[in-house]
Amino acid sequence: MSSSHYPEALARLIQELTRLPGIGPKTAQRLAFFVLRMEERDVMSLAGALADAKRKIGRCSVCFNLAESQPCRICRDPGRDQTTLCVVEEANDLIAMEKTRNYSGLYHVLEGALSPLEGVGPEALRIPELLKRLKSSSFREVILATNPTVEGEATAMYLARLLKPLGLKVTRIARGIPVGGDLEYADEVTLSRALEGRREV
Amino acid sequence: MHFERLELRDFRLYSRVDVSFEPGLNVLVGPNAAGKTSVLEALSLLATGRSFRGAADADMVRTGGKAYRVRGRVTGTLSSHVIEVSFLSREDGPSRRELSVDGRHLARPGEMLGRVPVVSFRPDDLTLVKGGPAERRRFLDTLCGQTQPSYREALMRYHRNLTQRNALLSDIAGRRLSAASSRRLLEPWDEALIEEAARVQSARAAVLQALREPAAEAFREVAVGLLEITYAPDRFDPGRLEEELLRQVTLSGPHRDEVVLTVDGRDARRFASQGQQRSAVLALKLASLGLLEEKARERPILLLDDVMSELDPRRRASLLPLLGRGQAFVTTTDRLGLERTLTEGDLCGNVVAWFTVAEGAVRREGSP
Repeated sequence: MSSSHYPEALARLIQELTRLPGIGPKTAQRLAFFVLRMEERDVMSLAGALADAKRKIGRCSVCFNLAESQPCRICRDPGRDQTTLCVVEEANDLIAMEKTRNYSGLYHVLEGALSPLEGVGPEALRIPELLKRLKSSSFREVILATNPTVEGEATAMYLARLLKPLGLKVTRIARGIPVGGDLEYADEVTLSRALEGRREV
Repeated sequence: MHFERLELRDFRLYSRVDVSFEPGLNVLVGPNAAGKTSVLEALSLLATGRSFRGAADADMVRTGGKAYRVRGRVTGTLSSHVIEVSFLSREDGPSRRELSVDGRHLARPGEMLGRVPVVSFRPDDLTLVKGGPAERRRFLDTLCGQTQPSYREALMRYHRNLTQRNALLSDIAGRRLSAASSRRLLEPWDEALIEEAARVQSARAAVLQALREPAAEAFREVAVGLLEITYAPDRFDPGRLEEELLRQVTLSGPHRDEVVLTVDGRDARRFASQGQQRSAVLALKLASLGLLEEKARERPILLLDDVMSELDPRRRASLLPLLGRGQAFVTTTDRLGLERTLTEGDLCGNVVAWFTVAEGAVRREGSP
């Protein structure tokens, strides 16, 4: 499929769309044709939203959450518990935590997890910033909420060792049975790991 | 438990197959390269999530195709399930493999697969004795996965950890870090590696322990001598860092485990006769059959790929009674030979259904 079959502007649109993750040439072509059929007003709105998002949203200079202002809304909120810090891999993990409405402390986004395979070492994550924050503020507990993947676990373990000397309480989120899930239907892997992570009541 | 139906789409040389099986003995007859083994391979895929040939997904897609789908209905005494394995290779993204049971997508391969107990007998099985340690680990991994649903996950996590650790070793070697900072970087991976290694090795040890006696007994039935199976776990040792940095691979751990087979105290790989080696394979398979039956409380389904003609009468005699109980699939190029063999054994009235495999089709004989 050569791009010379398309008028130049269309070829360029298809080319740009294929830069997006999960979008191959065929999907890009389908999306491009769809855009051509859209109302001009809607197309302008989409283009505006793309540009706006890119221009206005950056990383919070304190916690590295996505933010429209500096520092972000959460870091500025005096009503939040200033003694607890939750460490997550990505901004979308933070959003997931926020949706629980059960956590009112502050966050720190690492912007990834350790992965030597992809060349991601501690220096590529927001770890120096984390240490600086912990030393200069009044945090008492750090919750390690990285994902339960191999990489997320290694990151949590790395951080746990790094943070121990600071004399803070360092905790790791539990892994186990989803709430609303029935023990009977939990798969054995989840169940056996939940059993290992059991606590005294 | 038995396979009631099998559907293949663009799998190996088949574009489309829909076939029903008997709960008893199913014989697939056809010339070489007609696709008999592929039918058995599809059944093994549904039962264990992996090809018994150890083939990659992309290799099982029909030439010229992009995707395969294997679907089967498995019926037991209490329930009946539809298991499906599908694979789609894409140019513009990662290939996708999906497992589902009764239409429900499975996030983890261990969840259902492995609950259909299957034991295969193939001419290639001889590599179990004659081949390197990797062959014996593969046999062990399949059996552990079949008897312990969380095994597959632990093994996958172990290997992911290992790959990450190896990448880190070459990174550290390239940057010539101090011993202290190397250790600080390696520690989290080492710790997780030790944890997953313990899961993997304790499962392997338990399975081998359960196989020891029954295998020795099965060996005595068909050959002379004492067959011994010894598990030699390779404990992960974080203390070999210097050498590891030099070679940039992890030098110890379950990926270096060995299973030692001896006959009368001598390494079966090097010193046993051809006949003893064949008997050892048969004994291991029969012992794993017993173990699966005990764990699943169901009669395992047998997949016999072109092995009946290879066995001498004594070994054949130890296998034949198994065909009289539960479901079995047998392939052969030699119809008359197999007919004769079957009359030697007592099939306990088990129904025998004959299928012709030719030109990309599997047809039950005697049906239109």
